[in-house]
Amino acid sequence: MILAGATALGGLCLSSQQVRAQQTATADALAIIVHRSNPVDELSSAQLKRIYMFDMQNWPHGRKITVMVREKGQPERTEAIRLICGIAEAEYERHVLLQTFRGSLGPGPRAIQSVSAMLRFVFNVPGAIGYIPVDQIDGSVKVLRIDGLLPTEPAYPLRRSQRVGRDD
Amino acid sequence: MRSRPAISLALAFALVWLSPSRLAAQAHDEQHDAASDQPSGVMLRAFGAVEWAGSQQKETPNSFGLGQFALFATSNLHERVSVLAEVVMEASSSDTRVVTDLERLQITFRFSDFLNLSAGRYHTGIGYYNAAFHHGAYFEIPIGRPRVFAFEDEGGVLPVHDVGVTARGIVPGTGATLRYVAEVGNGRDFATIDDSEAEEAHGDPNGAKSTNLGLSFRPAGSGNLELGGSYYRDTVPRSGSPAVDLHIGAAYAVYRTPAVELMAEWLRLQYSGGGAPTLVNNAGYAQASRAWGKWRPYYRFDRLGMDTATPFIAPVGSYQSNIVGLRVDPMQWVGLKTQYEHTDEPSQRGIDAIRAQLVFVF
Repeated sequence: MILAGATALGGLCLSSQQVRAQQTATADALAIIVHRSNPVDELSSAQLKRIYMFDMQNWPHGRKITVMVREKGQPERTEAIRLICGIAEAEYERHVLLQTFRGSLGPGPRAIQSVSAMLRFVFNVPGAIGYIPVDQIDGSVKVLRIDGLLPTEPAYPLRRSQRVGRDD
Repeated sequence: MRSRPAISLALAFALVWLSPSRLAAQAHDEQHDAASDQPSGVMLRAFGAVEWAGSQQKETPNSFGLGQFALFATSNLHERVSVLAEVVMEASSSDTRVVTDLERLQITFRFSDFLNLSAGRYHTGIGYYNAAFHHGAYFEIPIGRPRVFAFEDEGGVLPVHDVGVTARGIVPGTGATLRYVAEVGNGRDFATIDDSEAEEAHGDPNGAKSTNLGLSFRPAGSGNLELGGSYYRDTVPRSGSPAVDLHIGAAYAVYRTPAVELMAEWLRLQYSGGGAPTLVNNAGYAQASRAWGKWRPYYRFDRLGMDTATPFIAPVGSYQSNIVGLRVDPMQWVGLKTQYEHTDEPSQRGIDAIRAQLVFVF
């Protein structure tokens, strides 16, 4: 149950004050968000990559995963693809088109124009997964732990200042 | 190439006609109504190629040409149901006509990561290459497919296309390391080998269904390494002679990342039945490439061994080629390939040729 003025973080409820304090310190983190009814609380970095590379297209409880990305030309899109998949945006687009061309998936990820649209989409679509800056989190969605860590924790892996190795 | 111009052209134009309005609707959805998970419209892509080739053979002057123009469309009909179509138009080699083919048309039901069922016309899952690149020259590093994977209407030896049903997915209990594909189709009619691409779409001449089973293994922690194999069998009718049992085994190892591509496949084609001695042909290729920024040098060794007594496809003959080339991608969705080829064929040994191909996607 989510209380008024609180945010669901990895199944935990924090007060708005606590969230604000932690957001200040970790504003460059990218939060992975899903629908509040999604029973999944945590993903490993490898599982998250498999979802965004379309190697995994269903949640463990059987619901279809709807992958969301920001629209082309937005800096958050490039950063998120680099952090989650470890490849450049152009390579990701080539990979998605090849998977689509092979018939391994339908038209690919849904492109979303803004943070508010991303939150609204995840709020409405039980199978959706998306990402937003940690300071944009509200109580309408669930934030997943990645490798056991919340975006507010120092060792959280999805930080935009973080350098990740290329997948080659 | 066998053409059914009326149907194929109508489909191609329908795809083009449909796409702008549907894409506009999709864009509207994404920008102004992102709060639903309705079917996401039609995604349309086109793959094109312009080529140039010259060789030491005086009877074959150097020449520009058009490669295949592939129109690809896919759409979600439902959260778990999608369709795809691939229509290829290309200039006829014999005259100036443009001929068209419906290369793929599939509807897929995605029940889970463990089971995806498709029905329609598809590229058979023999080995790796055939179902990996389809007609998208842009995705291939060298110019052209390995000889053993040549399309039926280009003198190919394999049943590259088939009509039927397929199942594919992850083998339960293996994480994502083991995947399968199982196919049942009409099989290829080998009545002719140079103009028979769509024959299986007209029906199965003998009722014996082709079957193909493939497995691929992606070891955990090995990056993008994939090891796999497949086994295909069919009974192929032959006019005036007993039917031929066709068995095709394939094994491959592939390592592909954005920067590195290492691929090797070996295929064994066996023909038996009717009291005739069993004949076996072997074929395969190995290729490697490495990208440094926009530049990517590559090499391919390509071989097809053909017994001259092989039913149906003996005229294709044996083939061996060494290819060295360079691909440059000056911008996204555009690639320029140039390669030198040294080829041995039945009619002539040691043919030297240079080819260039400009590939693009839009």
